[in-house]
Amino acid sequence: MTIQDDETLQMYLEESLEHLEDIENDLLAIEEAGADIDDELVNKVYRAAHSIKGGAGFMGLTNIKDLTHEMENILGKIRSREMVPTSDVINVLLSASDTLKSLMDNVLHSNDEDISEQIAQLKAVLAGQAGTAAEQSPSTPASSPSTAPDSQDSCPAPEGTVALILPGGRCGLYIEPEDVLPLMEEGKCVYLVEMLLEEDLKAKDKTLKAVIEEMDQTGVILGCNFELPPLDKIEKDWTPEGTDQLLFLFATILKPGDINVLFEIDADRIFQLTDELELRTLEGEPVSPPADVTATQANEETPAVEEDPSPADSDATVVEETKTDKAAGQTEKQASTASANAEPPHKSVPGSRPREAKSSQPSKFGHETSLRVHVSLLDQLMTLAGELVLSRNQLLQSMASGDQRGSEIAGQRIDLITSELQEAIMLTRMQSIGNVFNKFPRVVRDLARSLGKKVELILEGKEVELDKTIIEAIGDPLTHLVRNAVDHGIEPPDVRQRAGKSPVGQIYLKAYHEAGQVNIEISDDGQGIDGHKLAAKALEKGLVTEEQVKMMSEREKINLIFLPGFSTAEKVTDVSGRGVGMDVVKTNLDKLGGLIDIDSEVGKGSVIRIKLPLTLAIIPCQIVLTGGERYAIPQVNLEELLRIPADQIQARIERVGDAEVVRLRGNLLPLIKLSEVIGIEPTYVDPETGLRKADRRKSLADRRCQKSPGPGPEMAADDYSCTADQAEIETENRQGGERRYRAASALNIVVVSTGAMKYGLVVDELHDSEEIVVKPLGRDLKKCKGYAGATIMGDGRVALILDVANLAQMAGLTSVENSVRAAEIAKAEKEAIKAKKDKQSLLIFRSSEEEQFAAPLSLVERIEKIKYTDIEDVGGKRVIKYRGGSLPLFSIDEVAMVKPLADQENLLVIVFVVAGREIGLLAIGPVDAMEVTINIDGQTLRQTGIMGSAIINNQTTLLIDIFEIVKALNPEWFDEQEVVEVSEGEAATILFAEDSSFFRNQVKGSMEDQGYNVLEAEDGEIAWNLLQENADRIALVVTDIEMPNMDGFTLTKKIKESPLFSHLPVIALTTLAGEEDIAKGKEVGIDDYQIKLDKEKLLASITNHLKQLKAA
Amino acid sequence: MDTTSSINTPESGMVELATFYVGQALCGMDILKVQEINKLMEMTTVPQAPNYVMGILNLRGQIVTIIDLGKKLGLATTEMSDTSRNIIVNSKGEYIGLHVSKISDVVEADWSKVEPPPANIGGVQGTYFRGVFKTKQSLIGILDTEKVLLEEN
Repeated sequence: MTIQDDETLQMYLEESLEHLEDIENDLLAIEEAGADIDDELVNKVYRAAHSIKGGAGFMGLTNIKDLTHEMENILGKIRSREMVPTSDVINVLLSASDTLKSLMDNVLHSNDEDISEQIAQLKAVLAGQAGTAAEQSPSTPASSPSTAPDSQDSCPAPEGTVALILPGGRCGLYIEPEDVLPLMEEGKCVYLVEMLLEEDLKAKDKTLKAVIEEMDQTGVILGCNFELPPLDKIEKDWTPEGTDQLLFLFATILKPGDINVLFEIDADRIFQLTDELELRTLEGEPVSPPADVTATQANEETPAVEEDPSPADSDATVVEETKTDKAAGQTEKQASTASANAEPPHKSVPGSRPREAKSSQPSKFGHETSLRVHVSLLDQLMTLAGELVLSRNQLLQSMASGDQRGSEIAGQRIDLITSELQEAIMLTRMQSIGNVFNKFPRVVRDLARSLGKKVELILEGKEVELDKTIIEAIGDPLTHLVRNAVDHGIEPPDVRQRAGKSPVGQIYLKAYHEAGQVNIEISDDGQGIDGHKLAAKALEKGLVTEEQVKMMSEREKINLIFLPGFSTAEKVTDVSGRGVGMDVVKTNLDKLGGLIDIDSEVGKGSVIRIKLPLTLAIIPCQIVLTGGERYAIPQVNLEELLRIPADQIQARIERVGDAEVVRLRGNLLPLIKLSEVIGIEPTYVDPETGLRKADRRKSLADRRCQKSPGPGPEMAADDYSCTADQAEIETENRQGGERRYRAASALNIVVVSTGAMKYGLVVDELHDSEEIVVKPLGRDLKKCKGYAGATIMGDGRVALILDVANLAQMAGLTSVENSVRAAEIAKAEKEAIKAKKDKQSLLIFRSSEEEQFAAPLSLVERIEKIKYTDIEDVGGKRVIKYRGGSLPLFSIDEVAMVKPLADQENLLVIVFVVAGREIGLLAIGPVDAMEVTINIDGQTLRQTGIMGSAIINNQTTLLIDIFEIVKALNPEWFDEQEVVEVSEGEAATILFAEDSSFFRNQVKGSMEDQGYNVLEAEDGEIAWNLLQENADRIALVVTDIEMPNMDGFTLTKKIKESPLFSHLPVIALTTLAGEEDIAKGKEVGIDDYQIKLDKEKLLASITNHLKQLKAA
Repeated sequence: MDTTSSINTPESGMVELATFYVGQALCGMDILKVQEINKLMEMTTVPQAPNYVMGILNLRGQIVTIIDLGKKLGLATTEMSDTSRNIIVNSKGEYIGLHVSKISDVVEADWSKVEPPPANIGGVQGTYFRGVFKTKQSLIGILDTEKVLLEEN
């Protein structure tokens, strides 16, 4: 075997692998198109296969050559529409391309591999068609696969030309069809004449010059296999160098019967060219396989052409055939290309050829040893390097002469150039993610086929670029995820159809840039992941406890899949799958500094999101300071920075169990103190002395229970009394020095996320964001899991890079435990989605130690802490001096039959605003705000001032009706409020849609109290029917948003779209009016949003709208 | 004697020892193992590191772990002082600094005159010494650096 020098082989391999990648996807596209053949596409594959073959021939890689050759034959058939690219055909081609790839991976031994089976398969495909094809076109080879392929194979035609092949597979000439065909149309015959210098000329005493002159007189020489000088310059004894076999392509009016008069040679060495560009003997027998090896005719230059290893270009009609004897040509698969380098395999090399074979040297051909970089980029690098040198000179000079200004300028320039240089070098490493994506169509197709599923893969963002190392490392995890999506995500077609989905499943693979990171999304519209089943499995494996599972949100359950040990070798397909090796995927991504997160809805599909850094070497980091040392937190993990002013710490930092949490936009964020986790003393800067001092604060907030026995809300609930005592003690302790109210003691929190988990890292100080270079830590520090490495800061000191995932683990904050803290919210959220019930933000407090109360948070103005002694009893009413006025106070036991207010020194005042006035409710702690979905029982414990009861934190909780209480205490407050809108002496009728009977009764009651007539509906559909029945009566609609059958949005839309009702004002009642909801509501025409249980505002709004309606 | 530390120079012929004090003890190591000796003390402490790790520092762009040799040998903590130095050694492709109390002379020693470590040092320390070399004034304990720097399990 002839192996070219390493470099050539390397180049060939790189090119070929690129081609192969294209081939695969193009084949899939061809398959998809089916009988509707896209010529361009087929040609592209054809050319790619051809290039590979050409190179292989040149390199002496016979196996590769043979294989590509067979592929080429099939492709040729497809192109000429003699074969329909069914998936069976494509299958064979694909598997052939796989074999090719494996041959190339081990190129030095590729010739030793046994590929006969593969070839046989290809031939079978070809032969399967050959029978029928032969009938249509007599030119098809007489299904003699042993010779036909060989012959064709050795003659790759340059672009836009057709190879004419002599019997025995020797290369003839290459012709350009547009040169030949017009002549034929003129009635001329075109012949290929083979003359042997010795036999036909010298033996018969003829000269070449004479022959050529004769030919010139009777026709036109279209081409020959040597360089033909102008006729008048040919010397008498001239013979072309390097060959003794002369080929002429000759167009003449002489008919086949007469042509040999001219040459007087063996008739079997003259061939006529048919108008299909095939050679026939003079008797009209076909001599060679069909000339469908045409590379695209008259095609524009494509990359495939440039990369074709054969130096043949469009005018390469001159071919030297280095043929020793005919027999050799027949038996050996000639490693010839259109170039002059072609030579039979084991023939010694004529010395003059420059790029000839060296003996093969064993060397490693890893595919990643070289990289293609655009020349312009290299130029840019060179320019930058030049500039750097100049700036250095400048700097040296300035330094030598003590010119500080000059040094500064040079320094700035170097700064600039360094950034540019860094960017440019980064670019050289950037590769498009398409390199990875492109293999997925095949993966998906094959897997879907074997599983009997129909899957469509949609790729987006192939052009997104990532660092080479990341591209290489991400292939496996992504493949895994895509396979999973097909295997476990997408259901079989019949199941899909039954579920009302299209039988063809869709998988989206999308890459895009965001915030300096690359995001990859893999989404499918399959069956989704059942969190319950995963949780059950995790429980079974003992990875989580039952309590933990109870606390988990659906999302967290789904993310259990990433738990190490969750998915071992054992398949979990029986539990909706998606688990095999997911922890490995996560580990791999973690190594890359990537994040992964799953979102799924059973029956709807799943979305897996991956975030990756652009590069690994240089990463942007947030610098923080704790205990006098700086630490770097990779920006990838950074969500946001939070600074809680000293005077808000008390209000915003809360404790659940023994964990501190901060309320951030409605979510509880677990807090970890960096100093605590890594065991150092936190510091703060004393504002008076400017010195750094140890910070001895033990807790971030005040409400703190040292002896909290454990996590879990049940425990926490049992613990209330303890907490209360503790709070009391601590409040006392604090009286002396209010150090925490200084600005310097503001709390700095870095909100970080690691995949599904998000937490706040409490640090001493926040510094800048910097780009850092990651350096590894020594072996003695390998066991310190909290660090991802170290970096050198601008001042030369070393800073450690924090590994936020491990820190969380060290702090005992696994994703699962995390959920314990966010449990209430998560649970509520889950149920809200599931049962379509309403979430309610409640403030939970106590009046006596034993009873727990709740009030809608939306009605609470603020909470004050007071001393019992501050309360004044004036005029039979309790008040407290507050902001220069008197705040009336009451306790629940004044109105409702509940236990009396606890006799404590420290009390809380919950301030409500009712009827435009502030009123304070006396209560005791602990207070907590919760967003919960609760089933409110409006009957069992109903009494004046108590609207109902619910179970919160496993405890019966009474919901107070603040309006009723205030009304009972101060009926006069409401007098001026009573504005009943009447139309023609009759109260207006309001249609009220609400699915929860509790709220329905509540709101209905308050509206009826006001004097309105109320029609109630349990959902949007009933409301709509009622509206139609009572079209003339209804003056206003109040609706809930979340309702079964028809939600509030739809109802409003219907109302607003109907000409009959479009004038009706619609007021939406919500528990939480998110911006999105409001926007959506506005879109469909909701006139106003009111919060449930804020009767006052609701009634005001109703009044308002009715007035407007009347005025209009 | 020690046969496991094959990376060490053969124990024959002459050897130049860089000697230094760890606390009061005079120790020596093959001078060819020493990359450099410096007095960089701008260390960054690494919380949760093993107790013998003093910190890490930036040695011309490389992160070097500084080890308190005294502590590592099971002796007293080496205090930072005017005389204390870091001996930077290259071990398995990684730079590690040994913090010592004081640097002393370079002593030429003949392996044939090196005696095995006395039986009574034994224990943890004993394993770190390759032998003892006697000069006119003092005894030099010859450290087996590879063993000292071996990762602790």
